[in-house]
Amino acid sequence: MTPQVYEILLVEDDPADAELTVHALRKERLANHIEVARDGAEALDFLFCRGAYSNRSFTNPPRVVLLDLKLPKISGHEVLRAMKEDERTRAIPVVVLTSSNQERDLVECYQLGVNSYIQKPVDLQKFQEVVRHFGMYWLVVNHLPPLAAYSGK
Amino acid sequence: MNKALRFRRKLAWTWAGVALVLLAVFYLAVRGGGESIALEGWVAHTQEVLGVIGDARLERARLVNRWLTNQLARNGAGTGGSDADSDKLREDVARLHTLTADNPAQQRLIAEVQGVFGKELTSLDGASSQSSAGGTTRSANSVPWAKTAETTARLLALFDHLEANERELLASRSRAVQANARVTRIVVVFAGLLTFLILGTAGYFIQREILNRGRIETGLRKAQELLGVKYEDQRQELGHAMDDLHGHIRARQQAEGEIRLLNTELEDRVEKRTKELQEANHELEAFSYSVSHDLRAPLRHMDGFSRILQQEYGTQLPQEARHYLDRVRSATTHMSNLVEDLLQFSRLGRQSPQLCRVALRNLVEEAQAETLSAPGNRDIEWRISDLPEVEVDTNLFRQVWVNLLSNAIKFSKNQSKAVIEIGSREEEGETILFIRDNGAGFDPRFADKLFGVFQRLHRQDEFEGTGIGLATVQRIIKKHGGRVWAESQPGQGATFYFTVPTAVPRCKTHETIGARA
Repeated sequence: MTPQVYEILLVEDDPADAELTVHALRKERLANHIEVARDGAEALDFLFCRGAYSNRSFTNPPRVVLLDLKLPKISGHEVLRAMKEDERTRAIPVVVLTSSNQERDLVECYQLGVNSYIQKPVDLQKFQEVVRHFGMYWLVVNHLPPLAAYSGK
Repeated sequence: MNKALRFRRKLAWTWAGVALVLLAVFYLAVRGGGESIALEGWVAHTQEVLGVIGDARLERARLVNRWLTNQLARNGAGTGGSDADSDKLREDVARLHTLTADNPAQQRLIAEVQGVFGKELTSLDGASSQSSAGGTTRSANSVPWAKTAETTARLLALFDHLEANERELLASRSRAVQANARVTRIVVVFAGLLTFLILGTAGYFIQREILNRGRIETGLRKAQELLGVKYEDQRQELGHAMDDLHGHIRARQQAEGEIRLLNTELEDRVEKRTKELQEANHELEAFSYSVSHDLRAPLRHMDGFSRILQQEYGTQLPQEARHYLDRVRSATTHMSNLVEDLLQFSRLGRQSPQLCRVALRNLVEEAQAETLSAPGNRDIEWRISDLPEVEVDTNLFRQVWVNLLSNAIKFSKNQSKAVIEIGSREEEGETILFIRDNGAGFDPRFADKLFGVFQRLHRQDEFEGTGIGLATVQRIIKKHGGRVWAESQPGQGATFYFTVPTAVPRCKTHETIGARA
């Protein structure tokens, strides 16, 4: 049995936001397999193949991680830091998708090595447009490194 | 000083006078003494001469006496010139001659005596030789007695003459001695009197000087005493003044101490307040973060799901349901705008402007581009005059223009042709900028409400808005040290003015309390 390939890991604690994002992605037919993590701890378990995700492998990374910043338990900043500090997860592109446009957050995220920072537009039409843009970019246009880049060796 | 010098000179003259007088007296006394000794020598000499004359008289008498005795004994042999008495007489006469060598009158008399006596002796010798050759002849009887007596008388007269001369000499010399002694006495007395006079005068002057000095000394002592009293008085006064001064200094030190204490308290209080303010500011920041993140999420959901309803199920909904959906969506948009503006406004409080020189024209053009990109902005006539360069925070000032331009566009939307004018003028060290529109304007009675947060002068159904835009403009202008005001009449457009100080230091950061650490 071939392992499930996840195109996107969506880290979002708000079910409404998660639903709207998934709706937009589905509408643009960009992703079939979207994993949604409800907090930072769950996201780290998935990314580092532990706990409920211990049967996962580092060699089967998501093509892109959509990360909210304000999360219960472990914040988006901490998730980002953990990912970028570990060689096995460093190559995974991370797009911060947040309602915050605080300068401090922007600076911190880029210093931690974020690949993209998108502020969620209030307007749904704009949001759908934004989702289409970044989905097209990260899932179609962008080239990912070979799997060896995720081995950590 | 001058007086003392004069006195000293006077004293010197006095001493010189005394010394001169004493010297003269001394000289005169010595000379008088010398003269006395000489005169007394002469007196003794005269007396010696008189003695010799006496001797010669006695010799003559004895010689005549012997001659008479021999004559009586008819012995003429013994009358010869070799007789001892006649020799003696001859010697005496010779001595007289020597003694009176200084006196020609006496010499003449003595020469006469010698002549007379010599002739007598010669005649006597001749008589004796005749008698010895003739034997006992009567020739011896030929000695002329008469002649001898005559000679003797002559000699005696001569001796008397001599003696009288000498005695006269002696008298005159004695008189001279006496005169000399008298003169000496007078000189001594006179000199003594003069000395006394000079010494007396000198003594008088010295006495007077001493008295003067004493008086001066007394005066000086009195003056010193007076001065001493005054000095003591002044010392006491000074002491009082010093005490007062020390008092003042103590009081001042105390006051300073109190001020220091108060300052310290004030500093403590300021520090405490600053800390409180910082805490409040952090809370506010946390609050605004929270608003930005949490408040906007439900808005987005409302908007998102209502839009999905419209898009995917719109055709299935009745007309009224679609209308209500529209109301939900516009309310959502308005609240989203409110939140956005409020966030921007609160963020302004924490930012400190970064001043840099910039051409206002560029900022206006950027703001134009931003506002005109919004939908529904129609044909507008722009009248933009030359704008100066100013030193401002570029981002904040762009925001000012965006707000003012969008206001001008918004409130002139009902005009068939909107005219927006932008210009500037220099006035008393500041640049006044203005933006004028031909829009709705406002009632100047409410002009003071124009720049308050959430204050609106128009109904929402006339001109939509959050009431934060002009408050933001005012806040930015004030942060740059400028003023902002507006002039208008309803229906006649509005003009907004604001100032920028011309002499703003280059790229200086204006500190604000809320500046992020």
